[in-house]
Amino acid sequence: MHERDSARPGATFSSNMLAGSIFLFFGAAAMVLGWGYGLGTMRQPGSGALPVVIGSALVALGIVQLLGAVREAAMTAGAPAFRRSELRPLVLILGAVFAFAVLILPAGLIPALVALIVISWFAQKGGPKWEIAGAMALVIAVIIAIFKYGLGLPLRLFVWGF
Amino acid sequence: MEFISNLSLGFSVAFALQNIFFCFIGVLGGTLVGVLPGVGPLATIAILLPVTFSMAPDSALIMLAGIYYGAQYGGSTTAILLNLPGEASSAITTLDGYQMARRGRAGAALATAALASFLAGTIATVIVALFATPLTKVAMAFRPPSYFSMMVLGLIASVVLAHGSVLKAIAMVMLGLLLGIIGTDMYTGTTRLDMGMLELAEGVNFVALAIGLFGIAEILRNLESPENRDVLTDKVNGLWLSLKDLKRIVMPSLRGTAIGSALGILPGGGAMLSSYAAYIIEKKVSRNRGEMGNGAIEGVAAPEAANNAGSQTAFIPMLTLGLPSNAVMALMIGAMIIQGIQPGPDIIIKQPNMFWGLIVSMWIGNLMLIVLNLPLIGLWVRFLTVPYPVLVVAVMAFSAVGIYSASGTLFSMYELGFFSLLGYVFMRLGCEPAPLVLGFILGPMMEEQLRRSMLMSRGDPTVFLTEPISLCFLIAAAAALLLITAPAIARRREEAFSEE
Repeated sequence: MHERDSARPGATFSSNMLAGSIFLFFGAAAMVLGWGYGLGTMRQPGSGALPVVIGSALVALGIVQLLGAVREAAMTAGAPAFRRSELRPLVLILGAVFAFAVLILPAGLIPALVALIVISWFAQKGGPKWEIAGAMALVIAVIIAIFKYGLGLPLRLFVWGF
Repeated sequence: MEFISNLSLGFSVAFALQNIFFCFIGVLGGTLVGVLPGVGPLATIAILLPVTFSMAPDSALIMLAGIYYGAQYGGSTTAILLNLPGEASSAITTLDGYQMARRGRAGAALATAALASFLAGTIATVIVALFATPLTKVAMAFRPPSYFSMMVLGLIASVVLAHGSVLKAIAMVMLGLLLGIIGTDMYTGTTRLDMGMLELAEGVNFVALAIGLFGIAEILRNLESPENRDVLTDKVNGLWLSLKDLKRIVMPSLRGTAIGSALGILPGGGAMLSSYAAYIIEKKVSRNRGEMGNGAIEGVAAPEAANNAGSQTAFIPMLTLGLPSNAVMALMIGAMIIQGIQPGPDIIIKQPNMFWGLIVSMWIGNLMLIVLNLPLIGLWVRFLTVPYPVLVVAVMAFSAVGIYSASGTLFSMYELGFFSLLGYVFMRLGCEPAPLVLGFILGPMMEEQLRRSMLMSRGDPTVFLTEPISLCFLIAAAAALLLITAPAIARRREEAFSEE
């Protein structure tokens, strides 16, 4: 994501900076949202009291983390947060979950599982291609045996037909 | 004799046919994931959470517990045969275990690990049973401020033992607390922090959070750095120990059990810490300490006894106080909440069957493990040849179907995607997810105790300092925090973790 300027010290958006920014973001969001729910009184804290208190602590931690990371980056080239080569497995694994979610209702369990298995298979480098059929048959059989027959959950294998 | 009648209740529950079955499934699954590097007990328990929805509470917890301590057994197998710890808690066993295997004593090392674990498991079961009732009685006397402060201490302890930056670990706890209070506020009826999503009114789906952070994020990490594994020893012989060997392992096993039991109870403790501490202490006190590191049988017995004892006594604070001491225990509490059981000291009164059944099942499970592990060792080693891609696909499919079938909503699938991404990003940023999960579980309970305390004290926040028990917890928490942020100790802590 942020690898372009990784050569020069001070120019990298290091993982420590990103961590600080995430804390800051979540903390600020909790404070703003929490404020709207009402702080209540000391005796009866309102719905917003805890989100505001925790949010402000998170903001403070985020700032300390960011300052530390900036100082560190000024001295050395900090490790860049992400490398582009890592994106492929990430995107494909998330895509597999998404494909399953999209297919389970309109198509049924088996088509959704086939999509999930094929996509997550190709998230991996160098997985032997011919094994996928065996793995697919085995995994689908075990899943159906456990969830549909073992636990008796109402899962439709195919929308059409069964 | 209360103790005897409690145990006999436990035996009657644990020996029920279905519980024997689920205990067996648990330890079998635990051994399997213990042997397989890349899938740990935490991921497995997370993935199996949806399966427990349709089970009775006692069976569900018996099975999940079996996975945890079963993994300690399985992990030692690969540590000894492959110099590759299946679990982090067995890493230290590689030092002497693998050396023994290289000298043709793999069978003896495996037998030592199994016997030491069994001895430790038996003693730890008795310890859990002995401690449970008195500790529950103490906890019953706690008033809301003490409860609140105890949970603060528990969270701080999880920070102390997290890897890496203390600041990041504290921030992760805070994030967990925030995620935990998303949803409808029981006191006011307001739906909080839901960002306009109606599905969040009942809170974040714990199963999706656990599977995303521990199951799928773990897979993503392993996809980056695939491990290659070669089985060094294909045949294992001489599983029987000589009398001389047996004599040598008795004392180290007992010492390991003592250390593991003590460290397991501490908040933040558990199997991994126990095995390291036991090895280090054994190296100081053992009669054969000179041999340690070169295939000493004591170097296998002590840490293996300790990690098994620690994984069992870690249940004590979880069962009696409702306080999870590590991420696995947080998942156990999650499983209880899913079953509609509110964690806390009244579990022992309201759910005596589950409570004592779980404790006794640990002993039965240990007995099953010794039978499963020793004669079937060749079978387990063969599982290492399962190609990792197949494992990935199986975990993915199991997670997706599990979450979907448990919640029946597509929204939970998107939650899964979100937490997988979050888990992956945090892992890359060096932020451990374990403190977040503890915060998530404790968030709602802490808020409730806080509100009760404030109502009780008529809005006076000094109540946390004027209640003696509460004050003690807070002092302990402050001391722990000061200790790890003190520069000298912080440095030593870094060194200790980098040794792993």
